[in-house]
Amino acid sequence: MSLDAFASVLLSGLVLSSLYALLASGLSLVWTTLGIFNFAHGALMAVGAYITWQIAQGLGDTYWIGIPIVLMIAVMILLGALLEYILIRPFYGDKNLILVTVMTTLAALTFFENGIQAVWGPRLKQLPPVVEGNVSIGNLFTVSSHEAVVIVVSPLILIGLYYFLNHSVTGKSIRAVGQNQKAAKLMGIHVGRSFILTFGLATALAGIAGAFFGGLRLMNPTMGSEPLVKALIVVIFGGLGNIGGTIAAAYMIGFLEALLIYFVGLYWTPSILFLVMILVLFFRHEGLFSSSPRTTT
Amino acid sequence: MTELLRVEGLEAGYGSCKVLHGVSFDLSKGQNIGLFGPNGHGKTTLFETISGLIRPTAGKIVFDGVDITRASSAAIVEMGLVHVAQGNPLFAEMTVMEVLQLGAFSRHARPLAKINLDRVFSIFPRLTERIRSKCRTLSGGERQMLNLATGLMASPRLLVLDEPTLGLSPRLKEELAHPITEIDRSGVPLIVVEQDLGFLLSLVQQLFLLNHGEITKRISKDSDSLNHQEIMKEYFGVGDDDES
Repeated sequence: MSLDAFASVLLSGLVLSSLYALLASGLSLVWTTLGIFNFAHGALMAVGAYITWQIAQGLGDTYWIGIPIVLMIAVMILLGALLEYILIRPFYGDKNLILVTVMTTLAALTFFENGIQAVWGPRLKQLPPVVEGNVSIGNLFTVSSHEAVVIVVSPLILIGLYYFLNHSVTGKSIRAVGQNQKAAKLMGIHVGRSFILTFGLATALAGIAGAFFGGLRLMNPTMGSEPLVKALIVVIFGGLGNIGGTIAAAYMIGFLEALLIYFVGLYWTPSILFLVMILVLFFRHEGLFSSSPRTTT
Repeated sequence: MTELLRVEGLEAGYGSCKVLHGVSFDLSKGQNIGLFGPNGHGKTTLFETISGLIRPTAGKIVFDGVDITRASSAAIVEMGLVHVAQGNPLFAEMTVMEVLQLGAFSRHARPLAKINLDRVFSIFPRLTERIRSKCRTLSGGERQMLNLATGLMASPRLLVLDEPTLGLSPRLKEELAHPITEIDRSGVPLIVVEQDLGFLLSLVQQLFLLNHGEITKRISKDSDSLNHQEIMKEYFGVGDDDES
């Protein structure tokens, strides 16, 4: 492997990892707190990208793309809260909650993918990069500035998320709700509010991933489906219900994918990733980094 | 107003299975009451209904003059009615310190968190050694201490204790009885369910027998001449010496 090739694998590994980490952390957060799997999560990434595009169109070229992204985040938080209210809240207390929400979130997935097609059409779109130009480090690396931003900002967002969950009262109450709902209620924690906030946060994270993705590649209505599958691998690989593990796993899977694409090619990479996941589950049922499986009581 | 809690004709259950068939009792200010009765006759259901975890199908709960029958559990904790659940495993992946901080989650308790924390550590010195430990690593006795301590962090105006010494060894029971007595002395009113009748009688002024989802007997310690041995004989068919 030449130095050039190594640099390009490292770079694409970092970019992939960052996007997976953003997407998977939201998926994992929702799973841990609400106990459900959100199949619409990938579609929400697409929604975030298209909303950013729409706001950017509305504002015109004179504004920096960061402004539409910030506005999009606000819209996504509200959208997430609304989705929790419509898709999940009516079924709380139902003993088939997990199955019912598989259906409602799958319905939302179809709704969003087709909705995007209906509103914005099937033509491919692209977002402007967050920062124009390239960054060179010595003579080794030349990265587009947008990729550099993705590589640097994503971990910062995730560190912020980690800090929020572990050191703020609201974050701790979200974790408490995920670990023992009844005990959380007895401490006066508003479980419903925690759910809404969690879903809003996860949706915003998906939106950020979408906006970053839209500046890297072309956007289409189903752009979220493949990343969702990767995020699923990441979440299971890292251990359900463990944000730190999810983030670590995202970087492992991202690099592994970049290496596999270089050595085995695009065609076999997804299969090998699934194989790795199955092998990990074979030896560690609870995932790589989880100390205890989540209990849904 | 001398009444702190009044429960009137409370009916509740799980789905179609009714557990409480019209429970009524009251608690005057400055008083502790005890509940006893066979297992599976509704003590825990009664507490879960009072603390808002279960919606009652009929009846009324009034706490300090406010109707809390349909209030959310969060609103009830906010008012200072705090329920320490039986065998609560708390939060497996959280540290003792985090759990204690969350104990003061309600708005009225937050400003008092520092004072309450000092108080909790003076009552449960053993917890100070374990503040960095995760809940899942605690022993049964330590977890029960943490449960009581978390209840105190909420600055309770009424503390509901559901079998605080359940499943503990006699030595650990002894170790927990002392702090509970101390909580009582600090002036927090208590509602206690406890199998150890001797301990229960040392804490409370009135006893209610809950049988088949109804209060079937009310015993005032001062007015009735019953001592606890007679109660044991009458309702459990055993003497004091083989209580378990």
